Amino acid sequence: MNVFQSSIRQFVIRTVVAIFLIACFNILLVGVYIYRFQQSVSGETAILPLIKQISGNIRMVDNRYEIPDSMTNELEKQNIWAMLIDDHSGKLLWIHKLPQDIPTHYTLSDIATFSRYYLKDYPVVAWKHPKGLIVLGYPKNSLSKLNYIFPYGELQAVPFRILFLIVCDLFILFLLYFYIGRKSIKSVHNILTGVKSLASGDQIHLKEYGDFSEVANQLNRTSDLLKRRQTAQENWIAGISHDIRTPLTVILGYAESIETNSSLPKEVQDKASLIKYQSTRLRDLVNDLNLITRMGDDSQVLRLEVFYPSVFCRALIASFLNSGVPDIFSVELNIDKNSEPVCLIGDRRLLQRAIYNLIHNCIKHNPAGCNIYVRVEARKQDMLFIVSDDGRGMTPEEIHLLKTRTQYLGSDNLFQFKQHGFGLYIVQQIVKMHSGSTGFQINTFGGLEVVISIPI
Amino acid sequence: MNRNEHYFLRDKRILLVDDEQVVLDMLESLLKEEGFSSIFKCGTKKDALEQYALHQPEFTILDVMLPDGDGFSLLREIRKSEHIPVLFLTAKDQQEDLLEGLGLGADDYMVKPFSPRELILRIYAILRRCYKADDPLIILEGCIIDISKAEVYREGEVFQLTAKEIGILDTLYKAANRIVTIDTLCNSVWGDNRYGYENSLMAHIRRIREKIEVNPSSPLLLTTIKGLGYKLNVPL
Repeated sequence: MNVFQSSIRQFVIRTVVAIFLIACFNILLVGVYIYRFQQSVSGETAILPLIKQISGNIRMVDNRYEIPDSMTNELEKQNIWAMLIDDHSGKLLWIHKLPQDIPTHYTLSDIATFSRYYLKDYPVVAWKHPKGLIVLGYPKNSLSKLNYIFPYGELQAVPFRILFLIVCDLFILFLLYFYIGRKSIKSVHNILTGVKSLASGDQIHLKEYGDFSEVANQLNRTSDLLKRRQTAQENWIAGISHDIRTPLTVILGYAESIETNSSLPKEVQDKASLIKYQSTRLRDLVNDLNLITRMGDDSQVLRLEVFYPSVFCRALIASFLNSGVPDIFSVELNIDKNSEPVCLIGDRRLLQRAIYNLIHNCIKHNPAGCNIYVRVEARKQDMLFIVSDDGRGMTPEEIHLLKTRTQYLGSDNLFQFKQHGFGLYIVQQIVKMHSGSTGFQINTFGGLEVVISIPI
Repeated sequence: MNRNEHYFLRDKRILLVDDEQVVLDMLESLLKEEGFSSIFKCGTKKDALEQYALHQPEFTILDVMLPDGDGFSLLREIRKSEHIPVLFLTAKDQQEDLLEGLGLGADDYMVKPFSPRELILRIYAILRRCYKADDPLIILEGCIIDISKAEVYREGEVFQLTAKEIGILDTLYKAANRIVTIDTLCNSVWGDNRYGYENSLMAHIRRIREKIEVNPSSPLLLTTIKGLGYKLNVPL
């Protein structure tokens, strides 16, 4: 799972957790409300305790019913009127602050009616008394009376229904999470693919749809811009290298002509030789720049072909020697007998360039001359191309630098290699394109040995 | 090198086509130093076609990028009437350009900047391949080889060459003074199936040396380049 998908999942999870917390908070609030409601109906001054107390404490004193003063005060405090209805006659045995519009005689049907609802819009509550029925009347609009009748089975099923409701809620939450997560991931998948391709240096053209169409549009524009810049850069390098080639051709041509003209003083010939050498360096630099540009372009794919490494190396070294190598250098090719019949699949032109660069490095770093050895060896799964010399070699620190320098290969700052030239960088890039590896070590002659290993 | 043949090759009319005057001058200077005398220069495709009609060159060095067209289309037009050898000399180093040039039938393709020595050797190789001297003699130090009669003349003696030996010598001579790999030699004599013929090749080389060398065990004319192949040393 990538970072974006993970973020979206986390976002959805957090949303679900937030919903859950809100639900918990609501339940808590409802709990508090119910508790407070319970308190209001079960406290000492609440409705039922009050009427129970009145029922229990009303006494006959001098043929009159009375209640303790404390209760009278409580009734007055709450602005409650009260009465005691005689069971037999329906007449009132005791009253307290009875409003004018309240009847003084009641039938059974009157009692059945008001006990469930209201008496003249007064919310009333009733409680039994040995002589009849105690009724408390609360001020109008102070209480709401609701009467529900539930089948007993239904009430018994309530806990299960609440459980079922919670399960349903959880299921819906899960579906919601799944749906939102999937939709979000699907909608950003297009964008993610584009960003990944862009990061790999590929050109992209995303479909511009959905919530992220604007982002897709911006990415497409960025990709076009990058491609235009890359093309401009390549064209610039190609143009510059083309323009440099013509003057270099003339310089090299005349320099060699002067160098080989025996009628000229040796000093002049030597200077011509120096001009030729420096021009050759410039030529190699131009070639390297061109190759690096092309290798950086994704359109540059390996032109794979099947060939014999032995034949390939013989032709390469022969061509190298035929192009003219100073006498202070010798190139010796040694081909392992086992490797003669072995075929390799690779880009001949690029591999040729890699080995050429390694041989050229031997010459460049040993101006006093050296013997260069090229060896081809077939291993079980790899073909080895070993280029070494008996020149000045390298210190372990320099070897270490060469090895660790490979970590800069992904760097944009190619000029880190400028002091060493691009030759080795190109070799490593070519080998990398062939899924191979490059090794460096000091050989038995004390010179540098570079081993290119290409999978067969 | 066979001096008669050298003169014969250096007499060829050469047309140079390049949009850069300095390159044309340098090439002309290079070829004149080598002894070529009939050199014609032009900087455009139009001029090239006019020069071609006027001088009937026998070898052409073509640039690919010209102000009024490209070298490839020029080669197509030239080849409509006659097959003359062509070498592309261009700053375009892309594989596609090389393949297109060679695909059109160019005899060689070199990328600027080039080694003048290599250019001269390649020009000789092309000319030798395309133009046979009336008297196809290979003159080496102390020996003359007559390819047409398959004979070697050395120290007053005549040695007969076999067909295989002529094939090997012909291949080596076409790349005179350059290393020819054992693979190229085997291919030229036995075809593509070169593997396993190295020992036969060595045997043939030994017999050739017995015929052309004064001291076959220390060869001077047909030298071995260890691990690579052989070189026929022809005096320049």
